Amino acid sequence: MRKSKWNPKLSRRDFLKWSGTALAGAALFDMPGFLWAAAGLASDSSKILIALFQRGAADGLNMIVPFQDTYYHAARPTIGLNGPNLSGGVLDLDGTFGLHPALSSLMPMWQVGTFAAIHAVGSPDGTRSHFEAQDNMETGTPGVKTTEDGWLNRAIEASSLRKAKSPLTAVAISARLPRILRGDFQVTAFPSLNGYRFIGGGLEADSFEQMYAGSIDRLLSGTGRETKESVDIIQKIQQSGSKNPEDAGYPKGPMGRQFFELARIIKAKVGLRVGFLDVGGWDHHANEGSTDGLLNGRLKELGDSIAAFYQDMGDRAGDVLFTTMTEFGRTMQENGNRGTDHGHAGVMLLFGGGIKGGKVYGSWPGLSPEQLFEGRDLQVTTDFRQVHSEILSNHLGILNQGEIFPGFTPQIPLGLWA
Amino acid sequence: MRNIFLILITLGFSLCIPALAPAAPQTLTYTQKVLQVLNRLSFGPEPGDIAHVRHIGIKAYIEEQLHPETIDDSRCDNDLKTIPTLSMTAYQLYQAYPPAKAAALGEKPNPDQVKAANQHIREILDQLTQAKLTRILESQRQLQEVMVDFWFNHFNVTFQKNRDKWFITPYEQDAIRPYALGKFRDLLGAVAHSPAMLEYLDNVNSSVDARYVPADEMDEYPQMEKMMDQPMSADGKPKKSMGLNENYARELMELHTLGVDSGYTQDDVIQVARALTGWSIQGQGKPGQNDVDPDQVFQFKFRERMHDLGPATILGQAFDGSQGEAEGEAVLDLLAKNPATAHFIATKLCRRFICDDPPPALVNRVAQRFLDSGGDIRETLRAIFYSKEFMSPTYYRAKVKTPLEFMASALRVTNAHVTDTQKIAQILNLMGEPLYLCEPPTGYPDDAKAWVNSSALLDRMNFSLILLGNKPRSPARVNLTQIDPSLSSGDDGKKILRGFFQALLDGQVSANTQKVLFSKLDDPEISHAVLDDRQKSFEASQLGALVLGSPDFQRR
Repeated sequence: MRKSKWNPKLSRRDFLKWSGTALAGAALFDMPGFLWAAAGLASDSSKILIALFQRGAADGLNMIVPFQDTYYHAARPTIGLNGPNLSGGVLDLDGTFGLHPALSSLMPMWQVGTFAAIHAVGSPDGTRSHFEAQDNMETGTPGVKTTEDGWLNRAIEASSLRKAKSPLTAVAISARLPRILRGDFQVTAFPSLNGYRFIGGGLEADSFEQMYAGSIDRLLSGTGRETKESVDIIQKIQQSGSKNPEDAGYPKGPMGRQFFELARIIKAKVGLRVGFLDVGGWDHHANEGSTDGLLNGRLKELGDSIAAFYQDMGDRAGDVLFTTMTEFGRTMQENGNRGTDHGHAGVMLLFGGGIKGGKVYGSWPGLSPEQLFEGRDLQVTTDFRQVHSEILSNHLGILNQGEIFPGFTPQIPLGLWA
Repeated sequence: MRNIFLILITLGFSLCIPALAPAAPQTLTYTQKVLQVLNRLSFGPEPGDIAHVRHIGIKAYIEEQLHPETIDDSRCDNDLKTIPTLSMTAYQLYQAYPPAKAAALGEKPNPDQVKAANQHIREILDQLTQAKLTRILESQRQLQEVMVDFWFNHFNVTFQKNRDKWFITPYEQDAIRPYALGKFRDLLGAVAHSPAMLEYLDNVNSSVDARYVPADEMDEYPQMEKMMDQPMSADGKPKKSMGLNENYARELMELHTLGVDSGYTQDDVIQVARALTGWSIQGQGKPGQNDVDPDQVFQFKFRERMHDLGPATILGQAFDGSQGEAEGEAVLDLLAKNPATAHFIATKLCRRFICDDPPPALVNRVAQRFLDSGGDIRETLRAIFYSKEFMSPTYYRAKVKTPLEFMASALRVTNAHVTDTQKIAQILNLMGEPLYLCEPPTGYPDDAKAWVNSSALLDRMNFSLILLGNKPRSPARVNLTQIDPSLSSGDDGKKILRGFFQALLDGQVSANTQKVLFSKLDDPEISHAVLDDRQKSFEASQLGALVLGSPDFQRR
């Protein structure tokens, strides 16, 4: 969206030099936050936004279940979830919607009001293509294919965060930099903390930095620029505390590890403000099941990870807003293989960040045949940009959003912060 | 003749005017052309390749690669013979690497049995990886390997999906490899009949669906009645169901042929899915009750009873529903010859062989050749390789290597002897491109923006240090002096560096990389000079690794 540029941000470079000195003293992590706060670089009250992408189109109707709806049960004879009082039934949220029992570890957060859901949320673009719909969600410009950068990167650029001095201001726990974070602002991406280090000594690190920083290859030079500094910080983090997610209560498996590693960076207070997790495995065309299929296992891992993450955040939980997203929902009608095909509206889960939880937000469009999108799928009643827009303004204080979601006019707020 | 010459001179001259600005050169040098060809048609030059192309000429090299059957590849073939699973059928693989439930003899397998069985099955993946790397590193038929990689990624399946762990080896061997340079329609057909794809995109159990059958025709499908009275699970739900699965039909159009937004609708997805109901996989049967010839087990099977017999209009063409399996074939015909398919395939091929955003004029020409040749892949590639864009300085080194391309080119250029393919698989996994394990049907992206980030570049530098240092963790052994005697440790750092610039980058090194690396020669960390002993000693492997990790080696 913006004109491409790269400004050598002098203040940021100064910070990097400074951080090198501080880290050499290794005092930084013995005195959590002290130096950072003293330097005015990060403070305990900094708000943090974490987003998780459920790649593959998660089935919102089996996550936040409209268990009172007879159309729901008729359309899902083998994979529909029972009402709260029946075997394998949902956990009642508000008498209308129920939580998939695999997400039971999130129930305490619902009860204390730090967990909310937005139902029938999605993109105004009707595509049922995974990659096209993911692009829509990540560029923030549904239907416009020429947008190169991601809306979350533009949000950073449009706010005071662009002046943030930490090379770990925005981090994706992912081997590839997701589209949502591509753009002018330099984002650090790595699949795990452990591998993010230099083999060899300072010579290799210096050569690497100078070869890439000085390269006329614009694409390669931009990304190599701050690697050395971010590696130093990450390796300091790695030197303290347990490296085993299960010790900190996270579930076994790659998803738990992603959450755990992100939490480690946050807890080290090194200036992380935006975090992103990429999680695949939601495309359940076959054997999605109810409480016995593939979705059940995936949701259990997700719910237990989120619960452990907030436990881990401790008194910072209120500063950390966590949101899920997915490219579209799935068909209301189950298909021939105890699965679902590509649909339209889905569900977003929101946690922490001072939201008014314990409520399913958004207007429910209903599931009778005439209420369905193209006669088959849950309608979108809340544009995904509406939710992000409210998060950006209420949580991160980013009010000027014209360049973040061009062409989108925010509607009456959902009331998440009312 | 003379006039033409004059025009060319004038043209050249006029083109020189803007060249007062530091513009790109107007043509590639011969060395650059040779490199361009090798970087595009192969997984990167290995020692001797440049001399070979210079010897036979660029055109002869291209033609040779387009006809792999004319290239002697006995060394690679012999090495492949040591990989037993490569020639096994899906059922042979299943029997040799059975699931835990088979070992438990009817009982529910315990966790230890499951773990042991999965570890054993993993050998199939290890051998598949070993075969792929053997071919990438040793085969003289490099373009064929590039195209097998391209098509496998285009028609992606993953080892992790259900029974694909047993289906994936014959998939690459029998459905992809024989057609990599052949006719697109043959390739499409082989994939559509492959158990691996039918399993991966869930067509295997897609069947006639009550939603699309008129009430008065229901009695044609007695099996639907049978579904109604079946055992229920604990929560009161039927354990089985039958009906349509749209997954394969959608991706067949979106990812395999027409491309997204090419005009097909949700109704087309449903109609194509209906046409393909019954395209399934032969199971093992039950001895004594339902005996199946072992040669047929885990092969394609058209299940007539699952097939939708109703009429349909697909992409504007009417079908009366009486054709059975032939209806699906006719749909594949329609898709293969659709101009949208030609455009989509041409775009992806140009992205692989020219640049991330290929010029539309080139894509159109290549798509036209695809259509005119009846979807002949070899002819389509020819249109790319002999295009003016192919040798244009604008697209010289325009591609950033994917993790696999980086890994392969580093191993090839150093003539590395691979000792542990599993380690290579692990490193590619960390780099985000695990082989045969790509989950989404889109396959891996083929553009730089997806792959370039700080950790990716760091991983490449680290791999270079491990590889050239012959570290215990290295998956391969490298003997630098075998490539060039000048690549040995010694006191003349500049000479060693220049040797690497030549050996690894054929002298195509940016000014900045030269400046940075030459300046490092004064650093005691690299010169190993100590105060009381001014004698400098440069370790060749360290210098070489910095060259492999440089920005210059990341492009092809």
